[in-house]
Amino acid sequence: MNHPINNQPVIDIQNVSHSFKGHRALQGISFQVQPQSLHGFVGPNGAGKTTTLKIICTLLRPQGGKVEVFGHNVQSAVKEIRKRIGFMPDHFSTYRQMTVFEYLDFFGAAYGLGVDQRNQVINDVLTLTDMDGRKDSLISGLSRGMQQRVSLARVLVNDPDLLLLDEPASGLDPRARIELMEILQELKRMGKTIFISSHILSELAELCDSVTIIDRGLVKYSGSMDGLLTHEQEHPVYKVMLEAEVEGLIDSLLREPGILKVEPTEKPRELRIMFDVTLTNTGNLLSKIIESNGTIESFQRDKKHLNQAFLDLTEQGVR
Amino acid sequence: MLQGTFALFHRALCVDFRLTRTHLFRFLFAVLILFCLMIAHSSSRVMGAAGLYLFSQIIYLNFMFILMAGISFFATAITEEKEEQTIGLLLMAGVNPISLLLGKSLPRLVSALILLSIQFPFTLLAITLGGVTFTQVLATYATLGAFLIGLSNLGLVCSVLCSRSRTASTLVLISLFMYFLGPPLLGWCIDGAVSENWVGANSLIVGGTKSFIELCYESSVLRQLSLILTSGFSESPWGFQFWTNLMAGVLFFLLASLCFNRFALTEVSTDPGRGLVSKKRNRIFSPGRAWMQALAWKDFYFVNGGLGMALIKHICYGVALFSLCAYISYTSRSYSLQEMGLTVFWTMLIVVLIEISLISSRIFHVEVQWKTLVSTAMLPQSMAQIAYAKVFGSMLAVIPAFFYLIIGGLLGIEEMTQDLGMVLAEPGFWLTCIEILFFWHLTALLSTFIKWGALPLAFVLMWVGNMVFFFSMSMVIMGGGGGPDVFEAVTILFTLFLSASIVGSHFMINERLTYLASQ
Repeated sequence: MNHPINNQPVIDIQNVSHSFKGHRALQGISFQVQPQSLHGFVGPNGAGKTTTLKIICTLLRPQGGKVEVFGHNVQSAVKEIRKRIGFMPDHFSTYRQMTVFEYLDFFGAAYGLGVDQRNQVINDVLTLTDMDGRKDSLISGLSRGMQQRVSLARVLVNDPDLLLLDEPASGLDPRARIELMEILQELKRMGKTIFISSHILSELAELCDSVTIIDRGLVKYSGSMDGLLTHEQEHPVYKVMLEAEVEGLIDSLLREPGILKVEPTEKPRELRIMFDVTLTNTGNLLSKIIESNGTIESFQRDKKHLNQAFLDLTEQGVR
Repeated sequence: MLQGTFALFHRALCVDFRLTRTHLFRFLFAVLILFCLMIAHSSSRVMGAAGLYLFSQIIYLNFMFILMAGISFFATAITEEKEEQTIGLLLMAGVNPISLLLGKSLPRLVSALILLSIQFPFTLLAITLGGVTFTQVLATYATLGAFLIGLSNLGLVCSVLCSRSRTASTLVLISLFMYFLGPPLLGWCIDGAVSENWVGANSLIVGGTKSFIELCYESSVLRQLSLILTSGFSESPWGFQFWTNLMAGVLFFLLASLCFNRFALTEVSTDPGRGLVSKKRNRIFSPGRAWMQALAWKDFYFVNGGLGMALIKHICYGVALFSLCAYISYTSRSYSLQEMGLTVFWTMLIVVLIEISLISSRIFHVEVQWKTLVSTAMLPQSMAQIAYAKVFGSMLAVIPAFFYLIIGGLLGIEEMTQDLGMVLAEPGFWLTCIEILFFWHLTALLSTFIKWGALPLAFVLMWVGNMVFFFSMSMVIMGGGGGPDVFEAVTILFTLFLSASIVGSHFMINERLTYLASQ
């Protein structure tokens, strides 16, 4: 069930604040999440991510400000919102003594689906999460990555338009992380809006269209991923790995209009290149390298730069 | 070796000091002693030996608290470390098993002993009020102290042997039942066997068993207390009970040390089990497909054992009731069907009360324990709807007990309906019903606040509340403040107050669950 898209933001948070026992977890945060986008919500530990997520998913009432989900106020339209969202908390909140099928069947019934409908939905979500062969396994016997998939499958049982995922990749091994991100991309292609929190910006860099960075209860940045780079530094930085060293390549690149800085990295045959997006682009840059007899092995945005942007935006110290 | 013990001891005292509830508990205890003192003072005008009366009240109050501490406080000394999976870390930090056992049990024992010792000056007031001698006071505290040491170490053994606090508490409870009810039951059995000529009255087995029963009686704290509280007690404070209880404490500690490596170091799974619920679909014990009342289905099968457990209960209750009725029929001259019905009815009423009490202590606690409240709370239902659906599912598990209760009621209906009108007109009947309902609500509410021991705590609170109410009422009547009419009126008011509290507890549980889901 996909609801018609309009320009109305799926999540609209305006000046929201919340305190716990004198500690100000949120200090008047504001941001929006657009329909069918994959929005990252990044911040260090204790930044206020989980509090924000719990307010959005109606588990916690905001003490100040306004939160709207699909145009409904989270304080007055709890049931309407819950029908259209799926929330996956940062810990396994599963009935571990159930089998995967029983667990999904239970949530399907709790959402009011009939037996036939449940059969269809359970098969669909198990296929999507690649859990077909494990439906009669006990949840307690599954690996962490598999349990995370079961949680994700549970969230999808009611076919929500908005998925709220609180640090879904934490504690997963690299393979499980990659597989989880692939599932999320597939969900995005299916038209879901996904709001995903993490404390690692680079983890979400290639996945998200937009990002909000929060630190100590304050929004430090909210906008597109590209905007984050230009926000922090005027010019993007890319890393190029060449198959072999090319003599004079650095000088020839620096002569090109718009290329501001070319420097070798700590790895052999790798260059870090900064350019002015108003004067050139990645296509021109790649063409110039090829023209200079360089064979490109890899070409990617400098992730270190993303991490640096995150560090620059957030304050030092353990919360 | 002592370094680890001191470190744990220090930590336990610091934690104990920081917790508000321990101070509240001590305050409640002080208030109760003051209340006993007020009653003794008031009753001294109308009865003699008011000091003895005060002293008895305080001592039985202590006894109850020691029993409750044994079931909850002492029985969880090691299991709480097992559940937190910290035993391995403590051993890695160089704390050896004996230090660990001492470090975990001593602070609890010391806290309880301090609570006993600080009352000592107040209980000396009983001597001033008359009817009690210093020897009696000293002997009583020695008796309770020795029992406390024995019980705390019994709790420690159970805590070492069991993997979970709940199981350890149950084991302590069973042991206490055996300690208090074992000797009379054994005596009853042996007398029955002798009267039926199954064994000779002078046989070695009968003589040996009777000597053993006598020893058990002599080591019983209850027997010793009743002996001390009789007027004219002049025996040594350090009697047989004192030394046997103390010895039992030492033996239990040694047993706990011996069993530690075998039982306490095994990995404890924090995952809840399925019990009899089959994994295979299409089996009789399988949960099948979720009902449209999904939460009720979940609680019936995965919290209360489902159809399998219901069937087992059905068979066990049936066998137990049949045996009981057969025994009574065999031993009594006449046992009519109606009387049989009444036996079944009253027995099953107790079973129903126990079953619902256990359910009320678990119904919400399991969601908190399993950390599943967040996903359950996200369903498009209010927390109240979720809670009531859970109650419905859990109540299905009581059907076997209700089945026999109804059978018993139907068999004894004639006898029961004879006095029904009179019973229904009694405010005391309604007060009892409302009190039971309130007790279940209180247990459910407390289980959302504390990790373990909601049921014994609710029991203690109810006992204290009732004691305060009925003593206050007795004082009012004895002081000439009113006759039975006043008592009846106050009973009705108290019933209404409890009814309002039940309604209030629904809101409180709702608020508490909503809060816990947001954490």
